[in-house]
Amino acid sequence: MNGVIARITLRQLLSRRRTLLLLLLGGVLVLVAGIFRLAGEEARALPFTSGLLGNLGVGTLMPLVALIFGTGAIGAEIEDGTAIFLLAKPISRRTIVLTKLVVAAACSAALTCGPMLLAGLIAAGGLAEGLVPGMVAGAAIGSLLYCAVFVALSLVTGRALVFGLAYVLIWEGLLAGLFAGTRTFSVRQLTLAFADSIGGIPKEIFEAPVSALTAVVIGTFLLVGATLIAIRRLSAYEISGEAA
Amino acid sequence: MDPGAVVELTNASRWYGNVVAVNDISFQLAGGVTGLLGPNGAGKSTILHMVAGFLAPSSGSVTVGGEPSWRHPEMYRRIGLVPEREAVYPFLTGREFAAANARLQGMAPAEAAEAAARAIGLVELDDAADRPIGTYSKGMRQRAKVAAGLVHDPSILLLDEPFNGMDPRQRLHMMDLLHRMAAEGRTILFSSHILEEVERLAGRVLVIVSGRLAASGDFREIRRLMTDRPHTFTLRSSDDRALASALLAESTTAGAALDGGILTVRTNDFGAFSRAVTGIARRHQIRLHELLPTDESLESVFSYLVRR
Amino acid sequence: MTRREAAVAPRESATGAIYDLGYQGYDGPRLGRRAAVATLFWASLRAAFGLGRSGRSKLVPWGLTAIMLVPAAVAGAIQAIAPGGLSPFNYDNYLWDLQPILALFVAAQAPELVSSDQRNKVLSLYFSHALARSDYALAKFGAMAASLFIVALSPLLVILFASILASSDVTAAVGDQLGNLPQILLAPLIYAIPLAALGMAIASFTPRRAYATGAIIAVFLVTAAVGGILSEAGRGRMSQVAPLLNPFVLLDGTRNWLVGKSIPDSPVSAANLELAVFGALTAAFTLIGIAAVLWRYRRIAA
Repeated sequence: MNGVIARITLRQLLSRRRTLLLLLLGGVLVLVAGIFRLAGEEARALPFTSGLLGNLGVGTLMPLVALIFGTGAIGAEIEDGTAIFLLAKPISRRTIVLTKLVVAAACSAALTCGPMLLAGLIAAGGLAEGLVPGMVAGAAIGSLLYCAVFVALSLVTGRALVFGLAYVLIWEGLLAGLFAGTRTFSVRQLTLAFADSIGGIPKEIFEAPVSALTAVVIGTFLLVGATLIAIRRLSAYEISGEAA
Repeated sequence: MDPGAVVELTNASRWYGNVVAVNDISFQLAGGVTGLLGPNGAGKSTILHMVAGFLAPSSGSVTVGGEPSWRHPEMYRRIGLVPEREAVYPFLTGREFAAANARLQGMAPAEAAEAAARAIGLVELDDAADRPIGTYSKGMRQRAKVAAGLVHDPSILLLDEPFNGMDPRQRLHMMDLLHRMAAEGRTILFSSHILEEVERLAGRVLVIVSGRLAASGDFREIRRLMTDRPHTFTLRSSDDRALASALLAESTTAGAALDGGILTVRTNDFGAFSRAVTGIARRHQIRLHELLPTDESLESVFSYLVRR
Repeated sequence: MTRREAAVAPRESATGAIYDLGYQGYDGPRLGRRAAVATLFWASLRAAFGLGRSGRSKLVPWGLTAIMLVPAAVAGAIQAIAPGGLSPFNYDNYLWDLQPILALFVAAQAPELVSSDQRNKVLSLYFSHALARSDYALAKFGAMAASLFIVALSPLLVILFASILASSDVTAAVGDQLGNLPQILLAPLIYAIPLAALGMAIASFTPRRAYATGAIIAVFLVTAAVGGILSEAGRGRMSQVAPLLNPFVLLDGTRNWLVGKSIPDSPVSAANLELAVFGALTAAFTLIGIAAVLWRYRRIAA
């Protein structure tokens, strides 16, 4: 972990416009919770909260936030060429990747879990028997996993954002609906599995299709694998093409 | 001089598929200022990127201080890099940028701040050092990059088109700075396609044409080695026409032209001609006022090499 | 086409010379505004599919088009091999089921069409010609809509050909399918035009492609999720109105209203509203989108 890199990355990621927009996105979550409180059926609070945090929170907010921070952590510098200042230093590539990953994951978790916690509390009127803390904790882990995947993606392709979106929408969205097997490799489903086991959520409200053990194994595999790929690609970073 | 400040290319080549960007180049640099000169697309940036460890040679070797430059982050302790691309972190001030680079080089915060201040002073960026780089002009951004490149007192400095965007005064100042640094024993390698810059700054020139090393060394020496091309002189004397006819009788003269009152003489043998001309003038009782070689500029050397 | 002779004859003096390099002006007829708009439209349509550019820029649009076609092709193949079975895909539900692909296409390519020009600061070049600002905006919008139309139409054509070829009596099948032609042609149009309006409206406001892509997808994802949740858990009025937040629901409703049948999957059937409402709202957001684009290009500094 390198403090200077961390600070620079933090300043890059949390630019005013970006932070504001993402807070706005999180605000939608809170808004919807508020609307439900005002106009929804009290009896359905728990299923609603589960759907809110599961679909809008884990399914929509978490991937979007992680995508922005994950692809921006090092992708922007690679694209405009400022990465060279970071790389022409006697710092191991592993340190660079890990530092940026941690910063991106922390920012993602903050801007995902914060609104989720608030929205969950409002909609369920409390912690809802572990539903809210479980979902929030799961989302923190999910943010880390997503960030690892997107950081690796940004070092592999120049259009990391589009490919990341394709992964979220097509793999996790479309295909997971059609083929149950793909769920095991979907960060969304892993997150829900973590949420379920951490929060101890009763079966009637919510049941994750993937077991907790599978989630831990696959999650670790994903995290370590993506990080290793990222480190490898950065170590072999080449600047090609003659300047005009 | 630091023994680690030696840059060596040995039969280094780099190709992309069918395109050969650098073709079997060998040279060794140990101290002094060396200029990479060549037309756009000749391979100068490719060579610089290979030395800087950002491109692997497809064959041959590129070493810095004896170690291969590729995948060797430790070597950056003694290399300072000033890249060509303009982009820098726009939200950092010049001072912060230099200090950040110093910190990343492993300096403690206090040490880094001091080094940054020194570097900013060297490039004369003190006035604007506390404004964000995003507000800088092109020349200022260039100077900020140079400050960041030498903040850790590297023994090797690599600069890619360093005078881009600088006004003449800034350029002179930068050249002065680089001369001083080289005199302290550093190895400086810079690339340019602008002849005047290289002529003025580089003690040694590496002329790169289409990926190949066309010539290396002091450019006046290179000119002297170009024996298949006649040297051209202009002469002013008390009787140009008589001198011209006398010179034409000499075997060392390849041609003489009297054009608009100016006598131009071409010769294949620079040495013999310069020895002979004074004797000829004396014998014919012609007073020689001026004898000027006219094509010893880097430009003529360069255009010759490029067209070869 | 006439060419004007060089106005300057070659001149020389003792210390300088001016050379005739053969530069020629052009005084002939110029093609005018219509041709400019048409050229921009076709060039943008080609750009939306990465034609005339490097291979990399073709990957996303063609990849998405291929994914769009795969289910239809697979279903068609199965039908040919084991005829008589019911295909899960038909003209009604295909575009609804594959909406993420359409969303991705517009999110990925709309910024290519408009954000890049702003980033590279070439707008002043466009506006210095016969092209009016509104022409530029509409030509780009048209190209986006046309590209979406192609992406949405192709799988329906695949379904059409598959069912014709799979049947035992081809001529009768053609006759049967002719009745479906309005649906086949109009449903993609109903999807393409409003999506293009929405995508263009968002993308034209930022020169950075990544922001535009993210913003467009965020709009789709968030409206879909919010609409879904509120309709499930809301009481009465809210559960009826909530699905209207999702633009794709509005598109499906419009399709249902104008050319097709309702699909069980879609919230349209559950919403229990007059179908015309969907059509009206779709028209509304399309017009607002186009207006936003026109406004943006009227105001932008170039």
